[in-house]
Order: sequence, then C-alpha cells, then structure tokens
Amino acid sequence: MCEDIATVPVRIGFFEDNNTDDPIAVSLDSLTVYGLGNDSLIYNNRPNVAQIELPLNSQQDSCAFIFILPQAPSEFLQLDTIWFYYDRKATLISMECGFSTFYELNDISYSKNRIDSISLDNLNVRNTLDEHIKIFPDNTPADNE
Amino acid sequence: MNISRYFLIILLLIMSKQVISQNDIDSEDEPQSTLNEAVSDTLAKPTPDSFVRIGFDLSAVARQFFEPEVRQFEFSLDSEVYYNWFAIFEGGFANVRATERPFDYNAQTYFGRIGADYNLLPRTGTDKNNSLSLGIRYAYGLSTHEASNFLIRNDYWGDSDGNLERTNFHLHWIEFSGGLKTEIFQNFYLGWMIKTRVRIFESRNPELTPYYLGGYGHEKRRAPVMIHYYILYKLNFN
Repeated sequence: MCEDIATVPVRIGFFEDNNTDDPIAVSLDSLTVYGLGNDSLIYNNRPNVAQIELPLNSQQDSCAFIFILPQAPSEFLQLDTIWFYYDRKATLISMECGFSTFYELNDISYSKNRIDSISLDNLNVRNTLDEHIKIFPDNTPADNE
Repeated sequence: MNISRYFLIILLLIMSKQVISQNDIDSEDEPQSTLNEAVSDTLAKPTPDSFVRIGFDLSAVARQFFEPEVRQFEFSLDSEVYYNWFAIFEGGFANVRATERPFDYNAQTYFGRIGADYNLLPRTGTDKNNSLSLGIRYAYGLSTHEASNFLIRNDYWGDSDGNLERTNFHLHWIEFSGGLKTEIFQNFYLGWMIKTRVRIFESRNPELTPYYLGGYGHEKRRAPVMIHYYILYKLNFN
C-alpha cells in the first residue's frame, strides 16, 4: 500500500473534441512517453492507451515529458513536448508510509505537432484517482471507446 | 479496529437506554400533581440552574492506543445561561511526535471552541439533570510543526530528502454536534457527543501539510465525523 502512494502521479486522458462540454474519450493506437533529460521510458509503444499516469519531478518546480504519438497520416512530426509548472508540498501520508509530495499545477505549455489542445481540469495532484489533464490529439487515428 | 467500533456502539446504546429507562420510571412513579401545583407550574417561568460543569475528553486519551504518535488533552466547561441553553467552552492541546520512524516529525497544537448546546429532553423527576443536546461551535487551532530527515521516493526522477523548519498553521472551523450527558452519581456525568467539522479558513503552508490538527483531526479529511466520550463533574452554586 505504501508503494502505491510513494509517488503521486498526474493523470492524463485522451479525448476527441466534439464541440460540447462532454468530449469523447479515445484510445491511442500506441504511445511512448519519457521524461525530458531522462532516458528511461515510462510508456514504451503501449497499445490502446486511453489514460496515462506521469510522475512529476519532486526535486524541481517544473518538468517536461516527450510524447511520441501514433504515426500521423501525413508528414507531421510525431513528437510533442509538454511542460508542467507546479508548486510542491511535502505531505506526511501516514506514520507507516512516511512522506510524499503533493503538487498544485500552475501552468502547462506544449508543442502542437500532434497535439491540438490541452485542458487543465484539476490543479491539485494529490493521492486521489482524479484525472487532471485532457489531451486532444490532432487528427488522431484512434478508436472511439 | 472492528472490536473498538463494536465497543463504542455498545457503550452508546447502554448510555442511551439508561436515560430512556429513567424517563419511563419517572413518569410512572411521579405522583399526580395537585391543582395548586399545576397552576403554579404554569405561572412559574423556568429558570436556568446555576452551575459550571467541567468535562474531560476520554476519547482523546483512548486515541493513544490506536495512534500512539498523537497525544491530546481536551477539557470542557459549560453552564446554563438560559433555560435549556448551555454556553460551552472547550480547549486543549495536542502533540504529534513520530517515534521509531526513519524521519522526524513534531507538531504542537493549541485549540479552543466556543458555542452553545440546546437540551431536547424534558427536565422532570430524577433525570432532570440528563440532557440530549444539539450544538454548534466556532473553533480555532494554532499549530506549529517541523519535519526533518524525511525521504520522498520518486522511482523515475530520483529520490529526494528534506528538512523543513518550524512553521505555523492556523485553522478556523465550525462544528455541529449532538450527544447525551447522563448523571451517573450525584454531580458526576458520563457523556458522548458526535461532531462533524467544516473548515471556514486556513492559512496556507507552502512547504509542508500538517499531519494532525489538535481539536480537528487529520488534515486530509475535509469534514471529519468523530465521537467524543466525556466524564464530567458539576459544581453547583445554588
């Protein structure tokens, strides 16, 4: 149990914008994600991805992730970079599990090669199962859920 | 944990049954009022009793068995200001000290609550000193806390350790309560009270979230519901 809450992740869902307040969740055919400055892959060509969890850097107030989205039906670049800017707050989860870091998201920035837009829905990244961010891929060759 | 929950429920039922039984006995044994007494009762305006009741929160002590890192002392003072209306002051302090852990965490909280209870029970016969009350309180707590030698695990970006200096944290909240007080011997009472708390203002601590706030509970709970058990002694001034 303590292992599950050691790192509090930011949760991201993928959606198709249907010009309503209730966008449609989509699954990407495949996705690769790794942190900027870190060679280790968090998701390695993972198929049918609808939601992902990313660990924010608990030593700095910002970090970035490289997204390699599915091959577009054109010559567009596959790579996108998303930057997260946040405040960190050390939190004693319990006497047994010790400390973790909660985050309050301040801003994000991103490239728009394969990403159309991103919405910040929940700024508080705590030890809950809430989704924080929606990504709307551009011209996604995806399967609707 | 289940055993303690059953124990609490049984204790609540026993104390509630005692008050209800006393009400039944009193109504059976009570002699018929004479016409003169009835007339005088309707004319007499009920007046509040003159007393101060001192209470000690037993559940704050019992908490140490379940969570030995948290030690809390809590007392209460109440007095009847209008008939069936009781002014309440509660106060106390709490210490949190992480022991035998790979990190150090220390916190102290001083807290106070002020408010009123309204008694719903009729005050007749031998159980006239028992009360079933609803109440509201305004509460304030001031905490200082510090942490050192703690490790934050991050398997992807790397672990980090930290030390945070002593800082203050303020919390204002409103409590809604309901409970029972039963006179078990002359001027000695046992009571329980269910309380829920709603935050109205808190200071922001940019670096460290308080673990436990004395008088309120765990910081992570937004509206905790807690049961308190009291032993009380009444000082009469009549």
